[in-house]
Amino acid sequence: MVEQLLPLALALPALGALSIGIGGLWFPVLRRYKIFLGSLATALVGAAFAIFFSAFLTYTKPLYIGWPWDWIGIEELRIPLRYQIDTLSLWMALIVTGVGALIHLYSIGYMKEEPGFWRYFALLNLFIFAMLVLVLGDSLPLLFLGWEGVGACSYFLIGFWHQEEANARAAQKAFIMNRIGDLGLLAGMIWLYAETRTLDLDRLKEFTYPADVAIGVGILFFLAATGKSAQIPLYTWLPDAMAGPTPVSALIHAATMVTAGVYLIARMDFLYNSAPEVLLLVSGIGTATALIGALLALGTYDIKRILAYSTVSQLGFMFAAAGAGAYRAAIFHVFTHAFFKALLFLGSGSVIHSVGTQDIRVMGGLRRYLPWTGNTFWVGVLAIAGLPPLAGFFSKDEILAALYARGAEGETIYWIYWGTLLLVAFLTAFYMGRAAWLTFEGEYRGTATPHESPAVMTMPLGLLAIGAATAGLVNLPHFLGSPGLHSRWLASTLQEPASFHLAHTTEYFLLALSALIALVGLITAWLLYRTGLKGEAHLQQILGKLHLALQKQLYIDTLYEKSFVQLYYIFADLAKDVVGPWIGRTLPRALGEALGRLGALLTRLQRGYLPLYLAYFITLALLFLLWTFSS
Amino acid sequence: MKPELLYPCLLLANGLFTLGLLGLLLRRNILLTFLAIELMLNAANLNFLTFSRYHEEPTGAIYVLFGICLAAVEAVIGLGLVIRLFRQHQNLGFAKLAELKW
Repeated sequence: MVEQLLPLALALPALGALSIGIGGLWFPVLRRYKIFLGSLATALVGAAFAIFFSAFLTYTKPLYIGWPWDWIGIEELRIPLRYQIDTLSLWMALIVTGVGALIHLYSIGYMKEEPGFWRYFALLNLFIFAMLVLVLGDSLPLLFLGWEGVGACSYFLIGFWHQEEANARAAQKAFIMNRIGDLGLLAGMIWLYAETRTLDLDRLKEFTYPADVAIGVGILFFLAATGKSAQIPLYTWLPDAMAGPTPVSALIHAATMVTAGVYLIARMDFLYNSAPEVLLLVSGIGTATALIGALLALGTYDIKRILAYSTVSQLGFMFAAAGAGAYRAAIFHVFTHAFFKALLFLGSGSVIHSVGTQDIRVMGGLRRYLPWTGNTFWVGVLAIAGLPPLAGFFSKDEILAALYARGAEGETIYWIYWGTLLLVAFLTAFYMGRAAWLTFEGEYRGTATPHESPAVMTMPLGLLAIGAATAGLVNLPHFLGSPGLHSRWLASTLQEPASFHLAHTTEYFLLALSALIALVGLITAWLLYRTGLKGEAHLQQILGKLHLALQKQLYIDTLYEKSFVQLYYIFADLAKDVVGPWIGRTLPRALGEALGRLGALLTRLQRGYLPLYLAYFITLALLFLLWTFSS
Repeated sequence: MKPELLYPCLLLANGLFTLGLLGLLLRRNILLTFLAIELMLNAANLNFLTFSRYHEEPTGAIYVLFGICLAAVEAVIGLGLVIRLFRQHQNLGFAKLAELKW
């Protein structure tokens, strides 16, 4: 029964995107029925979620849905239009459609005044479809199709208010930086195909890869992941992506699309398991990104940018876990992060909707005016900080435990990662506490009259808050006598290179440590910011010069600007001043003129005097005869 | 046909052909050029016939029939053109014809 419905789950968002998009484009009169369009889009994604959820409940073994014909069929290269429902892809599809439906619902309220309402919902539905293609596709090209699809939707939605140049630029930046990563995915795919003559995920699993292929393709795929998931060195697009509407930031740039890189690495587990060197790199980059993201979040006053850097940082956690081979811990963090980060973004959207600014320096005390938003935002903050028993506590602890276990197995470098991530966990609790106190506690410092958002916006907040509070319970640590549902659910799909076994006392110790660190971070934030903005001066004192650097995004953007972008401009100028005028204009013109002259010369032969033509003819005939006889 | 007659016959045909060619190249009058072409055609016919007789083989003679046919058709069209041309220009020199050049 469910099997027949599954293709529908994939088709519904596409149907919504098509009907709303074409309807709005060709029949402008339809654009006025905003509530209807928004509800339609929300209902379609909700229905897809319902179907995936029933498939989840009745899941027994991997299923394949699709069409009997090929999408691509060139000689031996056969790419069927087929989607696979296994535990990993189904889990991702649940996150995408579940969180996606709530954000659709919220958007109805948030985008109510927007003339491009229909365009927004068509793109949002298209994004859900592309994301489903990405996670469900059973071959790499299909995954790539979804990968590019979400990239395009992200571009359209970041630049949704493209009338302002800064937004259009942010969209281009995101698109171009993603393109650098996509090149890695494409090159890796070609390399894999050259090696195995197939791109089918199930068949790729059966090969054993020589070290050079595993390392090369692993690095290329990781490059793709750094682009999509905003890791060093390609993370700078994500903070700028906040130029889009806030629900877009919540859906695409926090909860779903940016986790595609983690999904890719988990999906290619068989490849990464045979390249432990690349896994070390993945973990290292993830840890470094987590640290940089957390530091950068300290230096900004824009509430959405704080959340963006926090996303970069949390994605770093996921990659650190994936790099330790703990793919399940990484996916678990994807799952919990989707709840609390969507919650935080939507909460910040509600605040921005209410006070009309994104600067936390002119907020404060807003919990009194926006009780729903404020209280649910606090749930999100406590969850991301990792306070037990909220969602972030369990997933973060699982990541830290996995890194610690790898270190204990003798690979001490993982202990360095573990230590760094403990520091990041402290920073996370601190900067989230900072944002929350400055926004919601103390006295209101702005001039607007804040008001609570409508129910269509607060309801998703409430649901997400429940998720953020309880999502961690699906994977309690082993020794609590828990079922570890999430780990067992994914065990059939993901092969992990290590067992991550720890003694019970060590696990207790680690749990207590991460809870303590979250608490210390929050208390530090409370000590500094309970008096409002005064704490900011203390923070600047403590950080010293670093604070200035953080305000300038650690000069990374400037570095890219001065190196790559300038280099590109030099090439562009070269093309404009040299290649264009010379190769594009002067050379062809000279060539044309020369040919014209030659032609003019040849027309002299054509006198219109018949005997002359006969003479040409006879001469050539004689020459031809001579040539045939002589050879 | 006696074999010793072959060369004189071929020589005659070649002579006629050369005569036609020279006429074609040197004459300034389109009617005479036309005659020269006829001469060359008949030289070719003579060549065909010579070999046909020499090899005791009728194919050449059949070709000659085609050749005569062709010459007749060509004469009809060619003379028609010449007459039109004369009516137009009252003159049959080639120099006038240069205006037909694109």
